[in-house]
Amino acid sequence: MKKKPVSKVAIRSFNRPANLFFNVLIAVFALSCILPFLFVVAISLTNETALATHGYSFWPKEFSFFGYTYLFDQMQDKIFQALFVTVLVTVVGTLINSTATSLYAYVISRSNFPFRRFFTVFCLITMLFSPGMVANYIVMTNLLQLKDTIWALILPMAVSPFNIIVMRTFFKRSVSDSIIESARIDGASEMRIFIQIVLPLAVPGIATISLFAALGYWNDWFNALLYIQKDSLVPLQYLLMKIQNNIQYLTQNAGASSQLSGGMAAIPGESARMAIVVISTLPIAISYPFFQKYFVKGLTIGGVKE
Amino acid sequence: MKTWKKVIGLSTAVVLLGALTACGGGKGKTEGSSKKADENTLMMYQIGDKPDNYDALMETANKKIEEKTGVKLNIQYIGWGDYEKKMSVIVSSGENYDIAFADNYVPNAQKGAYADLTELAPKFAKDAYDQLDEAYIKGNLVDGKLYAFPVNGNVYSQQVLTFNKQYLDKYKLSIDNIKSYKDAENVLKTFHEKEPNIAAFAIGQGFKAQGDFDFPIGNGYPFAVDLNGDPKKIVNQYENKDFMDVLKTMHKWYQAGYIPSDAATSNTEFPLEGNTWFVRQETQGPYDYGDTILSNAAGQELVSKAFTTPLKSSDQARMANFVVSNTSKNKEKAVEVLGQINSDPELLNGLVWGIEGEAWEKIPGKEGKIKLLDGYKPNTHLPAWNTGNNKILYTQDTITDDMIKERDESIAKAETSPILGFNFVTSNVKTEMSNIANVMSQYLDGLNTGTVDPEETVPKLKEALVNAGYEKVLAEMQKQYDEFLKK
Repeated sequence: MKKKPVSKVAIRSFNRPANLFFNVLIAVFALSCILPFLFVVAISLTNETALATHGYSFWPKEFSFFGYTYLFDQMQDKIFQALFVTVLVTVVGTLINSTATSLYAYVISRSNFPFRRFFTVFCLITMLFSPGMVANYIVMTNLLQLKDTIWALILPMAVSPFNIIVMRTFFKRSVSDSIIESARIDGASEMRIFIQIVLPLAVPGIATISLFAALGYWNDWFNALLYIQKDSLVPLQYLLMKIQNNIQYLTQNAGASSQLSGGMAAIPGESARMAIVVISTLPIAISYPFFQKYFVKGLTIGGVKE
Repeated sequence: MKTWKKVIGLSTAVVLLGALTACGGGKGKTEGSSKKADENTLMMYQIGDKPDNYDALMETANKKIEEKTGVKLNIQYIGWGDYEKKMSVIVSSGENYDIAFADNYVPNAQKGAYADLTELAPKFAKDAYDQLDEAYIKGNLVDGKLYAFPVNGNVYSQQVLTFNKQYLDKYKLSIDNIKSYKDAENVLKTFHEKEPNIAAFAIGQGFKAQGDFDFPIGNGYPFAVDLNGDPKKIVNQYENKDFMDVLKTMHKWYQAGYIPSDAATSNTEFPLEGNTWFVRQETQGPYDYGDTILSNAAGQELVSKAFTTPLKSSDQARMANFVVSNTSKNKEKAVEVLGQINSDPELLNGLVWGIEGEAWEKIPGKEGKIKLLDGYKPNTHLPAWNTGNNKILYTQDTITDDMIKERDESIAKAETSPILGFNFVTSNVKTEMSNIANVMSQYLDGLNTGTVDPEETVPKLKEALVNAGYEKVLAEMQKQYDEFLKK
């Protein structure tokens, strides 16, 4: 049989109807992701009383920036303080996380590292078995004395075993032993090999785990719930959580609420809450496209394992 | 070569570990030395939001506390919604604190998380202890021992329907004859016709229709004692005829549109001070002085009609409980401080009303009466119900001596629940209990908010309960209850 010459690699290799079908499918999926957020934005721009009488709608019945002005007038200090904490934790945390993860992953990816097995298993065990919240709490508060410090928000998520495994595979796949060997022959030290040869080759992988880490830090509120007591260290997500929890508690314990009034902070209304959601989601959503180009290359754990 | 590398690797690991522990140790030491200065400060966990002027409030308070007891108080606030989660971690990690607003009181007391106050309380907080209603002591006993120091306040409570006065006046509605849900129907009907966009009966998720019952394990479970029936028997309130009528009324209201159509799932709040609601269900006790406190909180006039009997129940007795941690090194001092807060009017009023001279001042010539000043703002004072003895609180001039007399009489008159102080031990029926909890979570909101038809749903509920092992739990509970009654 005569072979057809491959003239080009066809990217759009579906036929037209299939193409249309998948495009519609993806479009629906994309809409279902975006619509709720647009809805939140719409609510945040709706007049509070219009909300109570007409309910929610995609196009605000009565426009109002009250939600945002409320935030900037009433909660200004809190919001900006919290935003600062969140940004700080995300930046510092992501740096620490990606450094620690890539260092750890690199050594266990090198086949001539003697304790490779031990450290791989060590890492796997922490991934598979969790000691539970209370043990974590005791370590953080009693052993490390990190309660009420910024480190309590950073260190618990500084290394993720799953990311280490992903990165290890990535190093194995994208950095061949021969390249390291040739660098060694040219007289490069281990440090130089890592920084000048391996890291540039691994940029897509590192960018991907950095995004994971950044997302994790940005969205985390649980560590703050456990370890943070000081108002000045409350991150944005926890502030939001707190407001939401308070409202839920007060609506479910309506009986007590009349007596609660003394010493109770005024609860922000629906539109103000949605405004907080918008403020706390936008920055990380905006940073997405910058990581996106690495995402495509970086995410594979790898079909081929060496 | 290989062994040599191993030795290096291992020794580095050892050195690193050493460095880490040394680091931890060093920190421990500094902590130790700073603790010495802190030895005279008690740590207290409190539920709620930290008041804006916390430092100023506590400075005055601590002066008085230190004078009498020699220690200072440091209150750490944990938000309303987070309290349960955080306290459960703190308790199970054995962290060192002195006083806390009780969370999950009975199970934690049984676990031994709290110090036994049976002897400590009358000894170190005698004044405050003597002022407590008997129901408080009885309602807080766990296996015959007292683990909490309750705040003396609304020892009894009753359910009321609270009406927005502005609408009553506007449409000239009379509520004089309302003594049950059913009686409110006409008023709701008229209102709904006039204002179809405003929630007539403002309820949402978590709402519980109320009858004359008391519940050994909370009103989310189908175990109740019928106060109008046999007080020695535990029954399923969903099988009770009166309660069925209540549910039917709810369903009727739901269908008629008096209840918001998304009530079973909605978290929407209807702010007291707003006008988005017409009737709501509230709980009132003696220290509410009728509608005075509620109207104050709302900033508008509200009127309420009671529809259940006033009852001293375990729930009320445990409304605001302060416990001393078993890990505390200063248990006696902690009890002393609690006693102080609950017996020293100067101290307590300074906390609950705010700073004297700034937020309020005494009215000369009138004992225990005060006038609020411009400085009285939300979030610059502590709530009365979970701070201390309401009996020694000064009152605003609007509360007359007659009202105070009435309050004391009504407390004396209120019925005591037959199950006051009864604690159900679930250890034998744990599986069944969680099954029942699952079943209830499926039916509770639908039934209570009237979203579903009780005639159809209650039989289904009963069947599901039987499958979940209801009979076994009921038998066990009845057994424990019989033993409790014998004592």
